[in-house]
Amino acid sequence: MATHYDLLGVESRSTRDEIERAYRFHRDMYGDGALATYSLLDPDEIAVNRAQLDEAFRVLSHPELRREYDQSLGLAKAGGAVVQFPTPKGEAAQERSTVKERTAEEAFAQGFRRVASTGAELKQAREVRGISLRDISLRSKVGARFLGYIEEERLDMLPATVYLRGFVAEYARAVGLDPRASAEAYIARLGKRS
Amino acid sequence: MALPMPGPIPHPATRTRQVWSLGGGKGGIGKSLLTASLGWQLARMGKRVVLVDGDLGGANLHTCLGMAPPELTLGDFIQRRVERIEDIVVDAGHPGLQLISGASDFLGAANINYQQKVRVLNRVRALDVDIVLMDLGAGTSFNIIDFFLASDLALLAVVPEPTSIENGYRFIKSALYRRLRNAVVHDGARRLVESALDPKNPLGIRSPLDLLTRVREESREIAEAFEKALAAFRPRFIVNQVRSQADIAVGHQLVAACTRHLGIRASFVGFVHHDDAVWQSVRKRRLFMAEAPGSRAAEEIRQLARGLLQGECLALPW
Repeated sequence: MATHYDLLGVESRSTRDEIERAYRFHRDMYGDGALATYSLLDPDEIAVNRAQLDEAFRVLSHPELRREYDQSLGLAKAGGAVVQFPTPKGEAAQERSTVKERTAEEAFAQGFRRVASTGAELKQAREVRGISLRDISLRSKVGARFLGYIEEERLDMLPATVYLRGFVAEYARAVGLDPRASAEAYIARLGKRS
Repeated sequence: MALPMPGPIPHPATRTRQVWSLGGGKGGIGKSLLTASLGWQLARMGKRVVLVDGDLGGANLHTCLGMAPPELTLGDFIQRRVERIEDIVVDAGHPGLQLISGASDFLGAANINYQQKVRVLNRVRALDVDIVLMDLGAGTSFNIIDFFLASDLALLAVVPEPTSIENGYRFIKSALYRRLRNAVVHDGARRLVESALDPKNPLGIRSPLDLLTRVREESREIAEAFEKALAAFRPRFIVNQVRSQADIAVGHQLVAACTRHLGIRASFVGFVHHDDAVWQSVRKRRLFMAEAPGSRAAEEIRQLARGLLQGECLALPW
């Protein structure tokens, strides 16, 4: 039986970022009329594959669900940290980033938003990953109400910039975006608007 | 045609001699140009290379290389008008690069029999070079597929268009089923493989994986032979004439689809962009590698050659 990791073609230690790339890659692969699959599979098979992918991503992109799932596979200890965020690539990884990897990287760099600058973009990133405001709140200790205001860009309800920066960064981190860059972009935009 | 084709034939370990082949099922996707430019680059990198033109629709490797049609061709060798294969090898205008011209529809033609095929393969393999690179031309006939299966490195060219991808899959399936069929001597198992080739077979076998499941139920021994044959089948995709990042991604998707739905360990070894410099050179009957070395396509051929020599493939970035 293929695990969610198998379905996405990633390792069980993969970061959320890697999982998202893999998910998008496979969604394209099973997309409507996608070259690699349309003549190989019939429409029903494609639908089944898409549904499996969506389910795998729903679970693996959600911190709590992923931890439970890992436990069910015997991968993680209870209460252990599961979600890993992208870390700077080690030397070994850099050595491999030769021409061949760069070209592959280019192929997938497109279409992956790493920075959100609006409340709507943050919300979209959250929903794609199936994370609730409460999940982020539990994780970040930022009240769910405030997180909602961030999404709605309710300037009147948001705290001073110095706090807001931290809140947006926490939000972004929880949904797999670049925390620092997202917070800066979000605040810069609101600053212009006000 | 009941005899299985031999695998790679061992030769004295004086040097590593390899036979590479380039197939693709469909015509007009640039196989000849890929073969010519890849061979040219390998020669430039210090390999002694002989290109073999097996294009069914009309041999034109010599034109790609800017040469006049050679007088003697593989047809002369097969028909035994010349006895030694060395006599049909001509210099291809670049140090280390030679050519065996096709110039007749021999590979796809029905009149080449098993012995002739083995003779060609053995003699070609015995040539005193580093790499034999065969342009298999279009089609999925047994003769083409047998050369594909017998090579050390089986390259499969596609362009990111539906017809080419469909033909590419057809080529892969035909090659794989032929390999599976030849992997067993049991008549029932062979019939099973043959019936699996019909997409509407009553057994409901839709893919090599279905076939394997079915065989496992019947015979462990045959299933093991199939698994071995599946594992040894390693087509390498080249995606030609790409125009976008999404086109490049098709190469990775083909590999993933082969793994998941056909049970085949394919790999993606390179891509070449659609490049005006290529056809401008073609019009002048010059090879773009020499005519436009700074072009994007030329650089991508150099990357392809380097990667193939080093046994690399393109990796997904996760």
